[in-house]
Amino acid sequence: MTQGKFSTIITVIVILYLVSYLTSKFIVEDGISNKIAVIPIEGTIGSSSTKVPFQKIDASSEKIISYIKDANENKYIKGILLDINSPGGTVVASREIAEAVKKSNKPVVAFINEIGTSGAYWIASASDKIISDQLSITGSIGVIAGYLEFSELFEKYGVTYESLKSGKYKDIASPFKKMTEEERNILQKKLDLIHKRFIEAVAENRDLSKNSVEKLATGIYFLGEEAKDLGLIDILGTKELAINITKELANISEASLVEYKEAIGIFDLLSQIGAHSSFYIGKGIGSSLKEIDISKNLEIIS
Amino acid sequence: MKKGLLNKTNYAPLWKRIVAFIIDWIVIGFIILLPLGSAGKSKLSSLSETLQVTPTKLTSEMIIVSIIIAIIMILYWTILEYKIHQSVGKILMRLQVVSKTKSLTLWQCLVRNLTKFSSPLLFLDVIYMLITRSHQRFLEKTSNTEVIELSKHDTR
Repeated sequence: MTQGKFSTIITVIVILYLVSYLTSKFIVEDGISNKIAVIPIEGTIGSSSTKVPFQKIDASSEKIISYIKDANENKYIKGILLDINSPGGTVVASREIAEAVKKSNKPVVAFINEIGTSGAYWIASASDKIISDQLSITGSIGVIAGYLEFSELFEKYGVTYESLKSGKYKDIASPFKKMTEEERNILQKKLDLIHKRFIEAVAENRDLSKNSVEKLATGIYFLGEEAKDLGLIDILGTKELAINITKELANISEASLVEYKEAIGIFDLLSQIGAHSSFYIGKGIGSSLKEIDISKNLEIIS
Repeated sequence: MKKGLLNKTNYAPLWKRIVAFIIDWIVIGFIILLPLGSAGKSKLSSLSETLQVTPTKLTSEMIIVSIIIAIIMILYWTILEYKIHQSVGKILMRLQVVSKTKSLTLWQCLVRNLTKFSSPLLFLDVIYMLITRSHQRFLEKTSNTEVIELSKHDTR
């Protein structure tokens, strides 16, 4: 290779490298590098391993928390918008997400779409501002637990339940026997305690008195406009307004949106179709009858 | 013979062309586009790659980066082929771009490299190259250029 060729190649490479370098600098430093993370919370909330009878976990707490963590670590993300459309879910998963929201070092705004009740409202209450439509459904501060009880059905078919246990309450909430009054009281006390914690969390998050939240915490849901009057939400408006408020809290005028969601490939899609079919066919009454792990039968939902 | 004018066609073998392209791709990807790649990775791709997150829409940065990458790629081949009739890959594989009509012009070099900004278009161009006997791309035919193999004694 002649020296002329060599110097031409080096010159071209250096010039193009500089173009590339300057462009990257421009992209990193310009105003449009600001981003708002949109984290959807859709469907039933739970941890990935949670099994709620007749319900599918759509919003995994592990994933949502990891998204919040990533948004906090990413220097280009200036604010977080929780796009909520969920009736709630399991207590621990909801509380965990609410804690992650509270710990966020970036402004978090919750937008309640159609529905944001119970555990989903718990999460929303931990954000800096809550925006919802005037007809969105929210609130429903309460805890519910339930299970199917088959003892009479078994009795009808001559099937008896024999329980061998070393602890008095080891088979509490077993679907194969009737619950005693004493057992009912024990479980009710636990639900009341969870309810109390839920109320305390909402009162603290929303800067409301415990008494006022207690009055609202009957499990009843509120429309957006009612919730605003009661102090459960801050502003009535659209998702666009929620985005603008997030920008305002983040002190930025321009930002692009980055939506966090699980990438769905063709294999995931096929697997989802299979999973849905299996869920409705196999996880119906038949599979519930087969459940023998008593501790998994009672699900506490907020 | 006037430089760049083809007298006796000694078409470049397909495998040499592929290897030359890979070498050029490495030069562009690992040297020239390295800063853009790093910026893109930290800003745009990190979310989708590390957390399987898809951006709501193609952001303006992504469009800008894509356009700049396309321009840089086209400029790399166009300038080098116009100035020295070869790219790094072609030098190493002893290949050369020549004009079928007269001296190689900048316009010819630009036209023959236009498909390099888009993978699907380049793919179609390469398909054309595979089915023709001379293993020349469609845009090479359009631009009246050819890629030839230099003889062992040729010091160009």
